[in-house]
Amino acid sequence: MEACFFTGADGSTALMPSETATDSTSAWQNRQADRETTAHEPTSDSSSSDGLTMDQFKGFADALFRAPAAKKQSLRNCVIADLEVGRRLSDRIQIILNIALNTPRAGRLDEAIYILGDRRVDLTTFLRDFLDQDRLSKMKPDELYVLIRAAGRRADDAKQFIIPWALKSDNISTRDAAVESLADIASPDAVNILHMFARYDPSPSIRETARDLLDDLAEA
Amino acid sequence: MAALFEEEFDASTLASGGHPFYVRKIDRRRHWRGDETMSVDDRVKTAATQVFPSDGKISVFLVANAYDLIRVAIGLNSVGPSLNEKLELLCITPDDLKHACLQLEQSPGDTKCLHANSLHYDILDDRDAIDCLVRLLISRDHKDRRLTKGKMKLAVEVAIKTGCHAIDSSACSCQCET
Repeated sequence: MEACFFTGADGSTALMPSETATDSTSAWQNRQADRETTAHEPTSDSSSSDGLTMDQFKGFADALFRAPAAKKQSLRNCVIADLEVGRRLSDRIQIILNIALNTPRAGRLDEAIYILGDRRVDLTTFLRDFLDQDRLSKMKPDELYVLIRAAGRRADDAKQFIIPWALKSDNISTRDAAVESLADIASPDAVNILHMFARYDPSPSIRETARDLLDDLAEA
Repeated sequence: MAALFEEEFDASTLASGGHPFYVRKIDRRRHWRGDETMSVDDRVKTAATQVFPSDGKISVFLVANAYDLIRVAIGLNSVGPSLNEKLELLCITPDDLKHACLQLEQSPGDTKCLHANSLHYDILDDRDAIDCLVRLLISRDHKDRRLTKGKMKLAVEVAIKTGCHAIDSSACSCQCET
């Protein structure tokens, strides 16, 4: 099993295993089953496993976003593995979003989209919580962009409640993110909706983005 | 096959100022283009902070032909999670940089592609000059360019044929090393 060390801001050292996809999938399924048997509604902070401390996780995630290409994959595996098992998932997701928005390196948003789109990360519960608590609409434009694009890439039902919500938004940036996400999904239904936005969205920039994405899909 | 790649990655269509030119990856097209609600000053501020975030140095790659563009695209995606991801690029000519009084220095890139790394430069960060560059490019209606997933698949084929380290880091047959 591949493993990597991380030294946290407090000087402590943690060993992070990189799990195989099969192990991670079953762990995720077990975690979901645990949630379904609890008496209270599941929330994004209800994980029972420990993982890294918050400082360690932050240092790890920061290292990932600043790492050269050759070192990214092992760091990415460790960050995703901790997001799978760590407590206070919503805080950890917020850390990823914060680093993605503030790291001055190209590719930072794509990295966050990939991490949060991974099936081992329970982004869907996070999104449900934030939507129910009316916190999504208060997020920064690029934070929402990452969350919406990540939701669109997931195989679970995150896209089914987030993308319709985003498409109905009055905010151009939010609709822009949803339109991009439709192109990621690329199903016949998603393409039909893209056509609608290419013709009828009140924003010229959204119409242009939708048209360009349709051209890209036709080319592919 | 080679002609197809030349056509698909026609570098001359990316920049209006002729060859060579520098490319900078854009995280989100909206960072560069903004929208109709934004004033020019808002667009300049957004682009300067989001496309050229302050870090002392701003990473760009020098592209002179289709082959360079293919390898830089692969190199840029090798930093991210997937080589096939679409890429948004901003093309900047040496004349644009000179006009904005921005200085460049060559430095080793940190992508997995050796050829792309050899084309890597840092723009020495000067906020006023960056604002000047962005304002210049916007005034010239300088558009970002997208390399689609379809084009990136073709680029990956080229990288596989050359034994690029972005495809397999343990490969020992990359043309760049011979």
